Amino acid sequence: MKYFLFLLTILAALAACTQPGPRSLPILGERDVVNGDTIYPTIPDFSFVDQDSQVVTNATFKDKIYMVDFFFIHCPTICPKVKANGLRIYQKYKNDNRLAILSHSIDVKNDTVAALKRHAEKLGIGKPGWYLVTGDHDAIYSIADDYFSVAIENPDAPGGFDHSGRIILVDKNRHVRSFCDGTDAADVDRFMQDIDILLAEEIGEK
Amino acid sequence: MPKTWFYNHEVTLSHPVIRANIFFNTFLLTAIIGLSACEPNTFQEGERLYKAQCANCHMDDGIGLSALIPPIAGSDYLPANRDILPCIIRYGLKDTIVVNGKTYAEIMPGVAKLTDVQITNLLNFINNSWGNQNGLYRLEEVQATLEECRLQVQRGER
Repeated sequence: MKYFLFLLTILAALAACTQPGPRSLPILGERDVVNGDTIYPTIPDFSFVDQDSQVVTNATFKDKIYMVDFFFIHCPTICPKVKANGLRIYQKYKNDNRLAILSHSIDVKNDTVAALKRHAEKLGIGKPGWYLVTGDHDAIYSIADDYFSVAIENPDAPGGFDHSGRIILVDKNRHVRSFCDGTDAADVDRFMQDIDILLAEEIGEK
Repeated sequence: MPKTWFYNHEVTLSHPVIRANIFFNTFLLTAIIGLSACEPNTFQEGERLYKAQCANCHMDDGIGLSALIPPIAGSDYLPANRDILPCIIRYGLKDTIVVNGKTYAEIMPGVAKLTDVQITNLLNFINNSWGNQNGLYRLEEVQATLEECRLQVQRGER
C-alpha cells in the first residue's frame, strides 16, 4: 500500500511535469481599475506611411497579431542583428497572414519612403507582411513609448540615435503581450514560441 | 644482508639522477599542457575585437546580412584585397564592391580607435575563422599599409 501510494505520487508529479497545458501570455504594462473594471494599457491610434507609400494604421492589423521594432537604416550598432533575427521570424511566418511585422524608422530625416523601399529590397522582404514605416517625428517617438521601447535622439550615441533592440508582440486587441531582445538569438527563439501561443489563443489553429 | 637498491623507494626517489629526471619530466609535461592550452586561443584578442566592433553588422558567424552587408566567412573579397583590408578597418569603405559575385553598395564605417596591433589581431582572426584560410598578417606589414593609407587620406585620395 505504501509503495502504491508512493508510485501514485510519482506518477502524479510526472503527469504534472509533462502536461504544461497551453501557457497564456500576460498583458504587459501598468493596469488601472476603474469602477471595478480592469483597464489594460492599449496601443493608441496611429497612422504612418510604409515603403510602398501606403498608409499603415491600426486597421492594417485588424484581426492580426503583429510585432514591432524601431530602427534606422544607417544604424552602426544593434540594428543589423535585430534585422537578422527579424528576418528569421519573417521567414518562418511569411506565409501566415495572421502575423504582420511593423518596423518604425526613428530617423525621419534620412529614411524617406524611397530609402525604406530600397532597404526592404536589400533585406529581401516583400509585402504583404513586413511594413517599414516613417511618419511624423513626434508620433513615432511617442508610440515607441507605448510599445515600452526606448527611442531617443542623442547626438552622442553612435549614428545619432539611442534605441533598444526590442521586438514587441501585440495582440489583436492592441495589448502588448510579449517582447524580446532582438539582438539575442536565444531570446528571439523564446519569443517565437510566444508568437505561436498567441496565434493559437487569438485566432485558433490554422 | 645489503639492501637491494631497486626495492627501496626512498633511495630510488632521492637518487639525484632520478630526481633530476622527475623534475625535468614534470617541467616538460607542464610546458606541453601550457602550450596546447594556448593553441586554440591564438586569435582570442582578434575574436574579442570582432565581437565588439564588427559582429553587429557582419554577424557572429561572419555571414553578413542579405544584400546589405557582405559576408566575411567564405568571402572571396578578403584574399583578393589583402593589401587594403587594414585600411578598410580603420577608414571604412564607400565604394561599391563585389563579394562572391554579389554587389554591395552600403557604406561601411571605419573603426578609427583601433591600434595597429589590434587591427593585426582582428585581421588574423577574420582571415582564419569560419573556414577562411587566408594566411597571417605581420604587424610590420599592417603598419606599412596603414601608413600608406594615412598619407592617401591626408592627400584626399581616400
